[in-house]
Amino acid sequence: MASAPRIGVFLLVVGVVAASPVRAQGVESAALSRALDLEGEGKCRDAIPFFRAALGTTSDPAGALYGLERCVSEAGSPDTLLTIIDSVLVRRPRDPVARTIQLRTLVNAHRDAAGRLAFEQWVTAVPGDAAPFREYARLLLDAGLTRTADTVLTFATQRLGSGRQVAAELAELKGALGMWEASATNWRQAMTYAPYLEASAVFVLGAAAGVARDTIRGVLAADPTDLPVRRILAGLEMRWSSAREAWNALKVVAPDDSVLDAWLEFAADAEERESWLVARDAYAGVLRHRRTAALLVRAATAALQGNEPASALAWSDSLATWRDTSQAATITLVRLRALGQLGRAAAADSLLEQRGSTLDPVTRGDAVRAVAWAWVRTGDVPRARATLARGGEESDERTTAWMALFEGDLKTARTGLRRLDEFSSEAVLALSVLSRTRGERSTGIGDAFLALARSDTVAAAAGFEMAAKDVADASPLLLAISARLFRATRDSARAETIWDGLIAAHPASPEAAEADLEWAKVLRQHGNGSAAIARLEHLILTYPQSALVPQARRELELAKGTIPP
Amino acid sequence: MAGYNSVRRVLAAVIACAAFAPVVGAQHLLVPMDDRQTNHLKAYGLIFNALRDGHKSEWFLNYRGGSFLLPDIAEMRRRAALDGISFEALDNGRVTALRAEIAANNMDAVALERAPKIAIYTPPKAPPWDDAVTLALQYAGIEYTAIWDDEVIAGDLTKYDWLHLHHEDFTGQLNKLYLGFRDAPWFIEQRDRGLDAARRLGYANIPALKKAVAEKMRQYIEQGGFLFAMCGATETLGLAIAAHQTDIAGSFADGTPLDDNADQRLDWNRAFAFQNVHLEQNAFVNSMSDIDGHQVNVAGRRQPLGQFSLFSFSAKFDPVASMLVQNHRQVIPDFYGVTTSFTRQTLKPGVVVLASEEGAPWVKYIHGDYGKGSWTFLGGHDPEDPQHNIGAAPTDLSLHPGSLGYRLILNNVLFPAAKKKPLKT
Repeated sequence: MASAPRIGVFLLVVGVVAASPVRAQGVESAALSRALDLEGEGKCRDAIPFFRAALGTTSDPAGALYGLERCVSEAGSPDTLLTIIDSVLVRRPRDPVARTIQLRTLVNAHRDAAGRLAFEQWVTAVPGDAAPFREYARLLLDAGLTRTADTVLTFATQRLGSGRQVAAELAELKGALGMWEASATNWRQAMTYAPYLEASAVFVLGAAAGVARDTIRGVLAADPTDLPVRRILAGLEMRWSSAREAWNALKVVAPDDSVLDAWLEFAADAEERESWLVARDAYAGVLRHRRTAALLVRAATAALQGNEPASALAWSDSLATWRDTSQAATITLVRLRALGQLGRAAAADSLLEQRGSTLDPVTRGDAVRAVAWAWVRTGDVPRARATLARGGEESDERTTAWMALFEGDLKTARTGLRRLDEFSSEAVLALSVLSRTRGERSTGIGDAFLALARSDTVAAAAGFEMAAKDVADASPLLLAISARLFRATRDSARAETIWDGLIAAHPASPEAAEADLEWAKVLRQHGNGSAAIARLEHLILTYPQSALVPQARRELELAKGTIPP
Repeated sequence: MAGYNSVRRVLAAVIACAAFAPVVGAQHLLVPMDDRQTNHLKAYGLIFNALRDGHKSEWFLNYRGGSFLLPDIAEMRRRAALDGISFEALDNGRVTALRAEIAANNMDAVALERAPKIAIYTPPKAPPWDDAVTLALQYAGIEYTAIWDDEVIAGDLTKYDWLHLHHEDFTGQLNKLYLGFRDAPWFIEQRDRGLDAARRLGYANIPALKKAVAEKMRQYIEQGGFLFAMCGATETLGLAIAAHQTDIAGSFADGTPLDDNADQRLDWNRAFAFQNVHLEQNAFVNSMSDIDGHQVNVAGRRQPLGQFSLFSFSAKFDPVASMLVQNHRQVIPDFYGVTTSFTRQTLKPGVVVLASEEGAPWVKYIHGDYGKGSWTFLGGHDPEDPQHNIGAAPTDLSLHPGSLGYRLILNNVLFPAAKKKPLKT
């Protein structure tokens, strides 16, 4: 009988002991939740007591400490926060969150001596730990106190035996001091334990200029070839140079799953930047190890967008026998467009005959228009019209308007293109010409645009120059377009002759100021500064109301060397 | 009726002539320097080059931000149009009215007669973007000659009216950057260049060379030259001149420790602006002395940036000080430099304070006479780059055509062109 109460007491004790943490945890989470709710409602002052309550009951005070830091800083009383932190540190002298907040508060309050003391106490509390050095150095760097950060990191190197554990902070410091080689070396080291800092490395090193960039390249490109380091180099090349150089930096890493994922991410980034051929090459790199129809289509599409229809066709041809039929329609369309760009209109026509019936109506319409454009690129507009008619797409407003333009029917083209929501550079150019003239027909303008559609820039440039003689009301604009195209083909001499004639014959036209500006830019590029200055001065003095004057003034400063290049 | 109509016609003709007179028959161009001006900095270049070409100009102190008057010549209009400088055509009648307004107020018209010959003390091959004055002169289109130790030691300073110094350390300690930048290529190049110059010119080390250069500059001012200095040159020039018989360079610079009693041995009678200065003797503390109030490179001493206000002077009785503070705003955001400001406790009596921060123990912009010449010191490195970290991109002044801080620099360029002899306050 005597044992029954004892068992009862024992069970009660066990029950209390078992329930206590649960209840405490409940109290803690309730206080923290209440504090966070109040903070969310903008009642920071009211939240402080709840954060403090949560701090008193929890075994992991991080959430409550951060909340207190936010709210107490907002209330503008760092001393209150420091008192709370001191009490936490009495119980938990090694707590990294409390130590960090203490340091941050002191540094932000410019209490340098107290900050230094708090740092030294933290170092003593956690001998051999890099955290105090990292946090303090980072805070000092953020505050622009590079010299003190240098002292702290030198101290860290002595205490920890090497600078390896504070490499990221050293890297940032060296970057801030312009010591680029040392910074790049430290970033290399930091990548071994903190690869997530890649973006920081690109940000810091990206500020280097001139010859320092080659030094950084040398450090990051040295063996061994690690993915995180190469990603930094690729990020820098993307910023300094080109997507092509970035891919060159990344492609040399030995492929494994994570490397292939990095290449895919890079390819998508290159697509976004419209570096289509680099994207294609990155996809091709992945395809050598991970072959899927979707990736093949993306590679072919990127090639097509990059005006490399031959490789697009090769990619899509390799898919023609692919067993995955989910991509069949897309593949057909890519092949048709590739054939069109290659000027193989007959082959495109034939492919449409073979596969047209397997396509859904929308894709089929796209396919018919692709073949029609293929005929346009061969210069055969009647065949293009016939293809549209055969495919039931002759009423397509966009294609009809463009066909009319190619045939010199300016009236129909003007009406059709104005109705479209097309913002391609070609459409903008066509509309600018059509708006400038009241003429209804011009074979010259049609031929010039058709040459552009055939990607024959030289013929187009000559065509616009010829057309300028026939279409008087749009003459200066046509000459300006012609000069622009000649310049694009690197025939600057011809462009300069046209600009010269344009300025002389149409001095009151808006294109005259543009001609001066473009001409000056070419002259400056060719090292003829004095002639460039003369052109720019002519522009500013002759067309003081032109919207191009601010741009001309800037070019003038650059030509005279009065501002940094 | 016929007579009435003819009178009306004559009146109409007179009114028409009067309406067109300012445009057609203007004799002067007013270059306003208030908020109506679209490019304040280029305006200084316009005036300087007009003087260089033999034209006369006037500086209307305290009138619309310190405006200028030029003869209405086609070439002036052309230059102004090219540089985007605003101007207003005035006939003699309007100029007479304007002069009456100037005479009746705290304003004055100062004749500008001759473009001063400008020398800038800057290392050979240094790009103009490294120094606020060369940046400003380059942008404004004002000619200058770059000189360095060889020319100064050879006595070439006498060829120039105006000398500018920027962040050169005349104590020869390379701004104590040894601590943070000892391995940086640019620092090594700077040190080697200094050592080469010292050897070539017969000095044992960089501190000895710079001390000799500082002494030549002191003599130049004493004999009537104008000196404008910014940033670290202000402080270190004073220290180098005062230390003509004292070793104030750390052993890392000249191989010998500095004099234990350096503070007491400095000869402030010879210095321009400062006295009773306490030297920072620790080689690893990035500060030269207690002249600078902000101590930007010393953790624990660094003071935050505020803003400084320009003082107003009597244009008629104190034209020099007035010229130096012409601006279209009176309050200017502060900017750091190796030397950012000058503590009041180290200023000599008689130093004219041109600008200071209200309530702060330092001033920003000071001026004084020395012998037959005068000096002006402006603290800070680059008015449009307040933090100015080493390696930062150079300032593009076409983005700051109305810069208040740069206007102070350019005031200094034009003031030696003034005909009037400075009057004592």
